[in-house]
Amino acid sequence: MFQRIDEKVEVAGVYKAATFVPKKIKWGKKVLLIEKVTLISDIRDGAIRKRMYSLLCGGELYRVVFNRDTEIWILEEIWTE
Amino acid sequence: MDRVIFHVDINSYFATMLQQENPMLRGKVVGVIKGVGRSCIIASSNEAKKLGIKTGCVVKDARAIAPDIILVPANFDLMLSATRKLKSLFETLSPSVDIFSLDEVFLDLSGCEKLFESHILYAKFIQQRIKETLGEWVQCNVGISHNKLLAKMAGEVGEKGSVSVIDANNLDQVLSTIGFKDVCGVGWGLSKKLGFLGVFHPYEINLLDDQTLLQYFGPHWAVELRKVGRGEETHLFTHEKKVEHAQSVGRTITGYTLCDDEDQIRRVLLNLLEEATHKLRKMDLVGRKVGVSLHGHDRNWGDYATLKYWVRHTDEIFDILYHGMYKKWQRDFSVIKFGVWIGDCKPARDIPMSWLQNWNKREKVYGVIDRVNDRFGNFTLMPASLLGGPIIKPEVTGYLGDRVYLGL
Repeated sequence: MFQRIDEKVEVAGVYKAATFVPKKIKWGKKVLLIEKVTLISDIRDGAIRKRMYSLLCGGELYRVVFNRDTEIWILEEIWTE
Repeated sequence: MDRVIFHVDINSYFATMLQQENPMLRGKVVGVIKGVGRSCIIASSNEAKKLGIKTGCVVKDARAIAPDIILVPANFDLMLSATRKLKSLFETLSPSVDIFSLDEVFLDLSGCEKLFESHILYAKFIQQRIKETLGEWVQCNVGISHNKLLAKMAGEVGEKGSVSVIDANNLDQVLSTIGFKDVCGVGWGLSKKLGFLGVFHPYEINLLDDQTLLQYFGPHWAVELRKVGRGEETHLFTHEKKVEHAQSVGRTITGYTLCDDEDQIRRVLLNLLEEATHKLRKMDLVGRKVGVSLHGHDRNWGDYATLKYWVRHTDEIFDILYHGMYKKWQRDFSVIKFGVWIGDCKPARDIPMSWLQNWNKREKVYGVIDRVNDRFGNFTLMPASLLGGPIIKPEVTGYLGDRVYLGL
């Protein structure tokens, strides 16, 4: 099940073919290495555009949302089995 | 073939996209539910379908079949994003794209034959492009024929992830073996009636004379069923879907449990109306009919009114629905499903300008509210009575009834 987190995180990544590819998440004191981006979803809430990255790190799935207006990254949910 | 129609259908769309997102779900029996605590499976994975767990199945029954079923709440934003990506992709693959539902599309490739080597190869190219766009786990069926009815039929009969063609060589064979459940437009009631006449496959319709069809199915379906029997496109596909504007705007929701709380019912109705009227104004429409419906365990109640004037402001409509209708209801059952709607819609530009001060004042106020919500997100500004509780936000439906509003 997804566990709600809703906490600010920092994300580092690289630009590949003009697209941002996240590589690391800094969540509190933890640094998570991203193994795979499984899905990218563009979300609109009113005129606010957000991009949700579904990321595999250490065998867990993280939903991290980038608010393209405020440029803030939020770790929204983690899938735990 | 004079026309070349491709029907592309993503297999088990909702569940497949969640499996694409989450590799831990791949190859497992997955049931998609609307939210945590919900008891109805709204979509199931291919693995679940193989066990007989289909859309509409109750969680309890699904658990009896597969105790290890994984229930995952749907993510409508994710689905809408995927559909938008698909739409953009399809527009690069065909000059004519008809989005049939959230996960189905018709591509008219008539006259484009010289652009690709063969239909099959182009279909495989489309399948590959979909994988590149949405992910490696996403499979789709492609059906190819000379009309939409047969292209969809071809997609239905093929194995998951396959490409199937219906042409003059196999048309009769397909029509004489396919069941009506795989024929778009022929519903359960119609196929049951056909069964009474000994007709279980489309081809057998040809054995019935016109008089019998007319007698049993009426003038409309007599003609339509004759077309199905011949494999011709029915009204469902030829009917011009592009209406200039929505005829009605509504919103329903099913709660988790039966509700008898007056405040809760009021709150849900207002929340639903807030969304419906926002859509109405966003499409620059006004309506003249308003209605409310409430469903209990085994009973339901509803009321509507045809007004002598046009409405589109939340407070005005809520006053009619809540005080004028709901308050007159005897409240003789608890409610689980709530619905509100505004009908007989027309573009606001087509009605005479109002000279009433109140209307113009409301128009200004709601204009500002809508601009704020459009800028900062739905329900940023909302009625005070909705504060302090959960908000029901807009959702996307499988058949894309909201396509005008969503701009699809």
